[in-house]
Amino acid sequence: MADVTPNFELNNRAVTVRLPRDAAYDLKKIQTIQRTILGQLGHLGCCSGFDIRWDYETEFIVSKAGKVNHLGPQAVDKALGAGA
Amino acid sequence: MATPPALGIGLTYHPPLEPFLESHSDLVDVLEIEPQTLWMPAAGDGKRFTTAAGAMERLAAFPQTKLVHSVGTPVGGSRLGDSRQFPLLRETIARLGSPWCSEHLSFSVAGSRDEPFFASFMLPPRQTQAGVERAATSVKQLSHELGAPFAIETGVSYLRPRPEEMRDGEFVAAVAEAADCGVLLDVHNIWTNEQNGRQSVRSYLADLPLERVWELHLAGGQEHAGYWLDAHSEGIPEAVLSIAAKVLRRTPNVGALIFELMPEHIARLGDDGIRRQAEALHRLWDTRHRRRTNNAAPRVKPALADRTPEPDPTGIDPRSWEDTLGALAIGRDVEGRLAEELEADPGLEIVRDLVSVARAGMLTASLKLTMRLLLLQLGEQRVREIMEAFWKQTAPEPFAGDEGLAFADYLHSRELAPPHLEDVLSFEVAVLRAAISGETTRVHFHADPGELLGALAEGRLPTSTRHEYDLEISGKSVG
Repeated sequence: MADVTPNFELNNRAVTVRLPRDAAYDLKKIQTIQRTILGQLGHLGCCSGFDIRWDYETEFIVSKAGKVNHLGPQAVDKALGAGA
Repeated sequence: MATPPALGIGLTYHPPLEPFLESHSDLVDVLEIEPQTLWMPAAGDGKRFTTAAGAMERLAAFPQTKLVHSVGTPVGGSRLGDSRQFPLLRETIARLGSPWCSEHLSFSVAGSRDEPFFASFMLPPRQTQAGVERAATSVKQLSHELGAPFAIETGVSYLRPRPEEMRDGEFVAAVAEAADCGVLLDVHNIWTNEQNGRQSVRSYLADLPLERVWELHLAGGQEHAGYWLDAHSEGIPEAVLSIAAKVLRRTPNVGALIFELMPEHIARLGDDGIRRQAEALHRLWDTRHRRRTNNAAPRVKPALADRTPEPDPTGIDPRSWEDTLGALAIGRDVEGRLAEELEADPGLEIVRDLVSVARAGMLTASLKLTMRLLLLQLGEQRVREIMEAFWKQTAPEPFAGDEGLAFADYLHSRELAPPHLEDVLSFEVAVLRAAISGETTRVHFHADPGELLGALAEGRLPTSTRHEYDLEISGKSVG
C-alpha cells in the first residue's frame, strides 16, 4: 500500500489519503488540492449580512459550458454590488 | 455590576488576519475571539465540540488581550443554543483570560423541545415584557455557565417595528437591568436599524443605561434590495464613527472598541484598509471619556425592571414568536395570524435571502468540488433549485461540516447522475468524516482522481478518461 504522511490537519485530526493498490501513483496533487480548497467547517460568525462565498463560486464558474472566470477583486466588487 | 478594565482597540480574529497582526502588532490592543467559528462537532461520545488543533495555542501566543464573543448560543429568546457548548466556552474564556464575555440579544433556536431547529440567523426577539423576562432568564443562565462578567450585544432587525413592541433600546435596557449585565453596543447595528426604518439612534441611546456599556462594535455594511445590511464587508462609515465619538463622551465604562470584518473581505480591504480602521479606532479611543472625570457622567435611569409592565394586547408569547419567525426564516410554511403579519413584512424576505446565502456558503466551504462539478454540469439555476429543495425539507446545521454531510445525503437520495458526481461527492464526504470522526473510508474512483479533482480545483470540467482507482481516507487525532 502506498503510504503517505498526513497531508493536512483539520479539526483535531490529521487526514491522510492513501492509495491501497498502486504504489506508483503520485498523491501529492490530491493532497495539495484538498489542503487548499477546503473552507471553514465551523460555526457561522457574527454577521447579519450577505455570505459572499456562494457568489465567489458563481463568479468563478460562470457557465455549464465550462467557461471559467478566475476570481479577482473585480469579481468580488461585482458580487458586492460596488460600482454598479 | 462589574466594571471592565480599559483595554483599548481591537479586531475580530479570523485566521486570514494573522499576517496583519504580525506586522501591525502595536496597532491592536485586543483580539475578539468568536470561539465557535474555530470549532467542529466531534462525532461520537455525545457529539461534543472540539477546537481546531493548535488554535488555542496560537491565540494564546498573540500579545493582545483576548475577549471571548460567543456566536452560538444567543440569549434574546426562550432557549439557549446547544448546552454542550458551555464547557468549552467556559474553558476558552479561562484559558485566554478574557476579562468579560458577550453574546447576542437575539435568538437562533426555535421549535419544540423534541424537535428544535437552528434558524441559521440571529433573529430579533419578542420585544415585550414577557420577552424581557425570558431573555433575562437566558442571560442569567448563560452567564452562570460561563463564569465571567457578561454583556449582551445589541442586535439587528430587518423587520418593521410592531406597535405592541417595546422600542429596541428600551428592550435592551430592560433586559440589561433585569439580568444586571453589561451591554455590547454595536454602533453599526443600531445605525443599520435606523437606516431600515426602526428606532432612531438618538432615541435608542436615550433609552440605554449608558453606564452599562462595556464595549463598542464598529463595522461597515452594504445595500441590498433597499435595505442596509450589517454585512461586515467594508470600512466603518463616517456616520458610524461620528455616532461612536458621541457615545464615548457619555459611556464612562467602555473597555474596548472592536472593528468587525468577515474573513472573506480581509484580502480585499487589505493591510492598508485595515490599518486605517485601526487608526480611526485609536483616534476614538484617545478622545473617550475618562471615567475619573465627573462632569459628563451619564444620568442613571430608574430601573426599568421596577416599572409596571405594559400588557401585550396581542397575546403573542415569546415562544410563539420564536417558533413562527424561526420557521418562516428557514422557508417553512406556517399558518396563523402572526405568520400572515410577518409574511406581509418585506424584511422577512431579506432574512430569507440571507439565510439562503449563508446555507449556500456553508456548502461552498464543505463540499467545494462537488458544488463546482454541479455548477459546471447543471448550471447555476438548476443547482439553486436543488439547494432550495434541500433547504425546504432540512433545517440548517450550525456547523458547515454537518450541513455538507446533510446535503450529501440529500444528493444521494435524489439519484442525480452527472458524470463524476459519485466519485467527487464520495471523496469529499470521506474527508469530512475523517476530519469530524476519524472514520476511514475507501473511495472508488472511475477516473484518475488527480485529473478529476485537479480540474475542478481549477474551475473546469474534468476530462472523462476512464480509470479505476481506490483511495483510502482516514483521520487520526492529533489534538
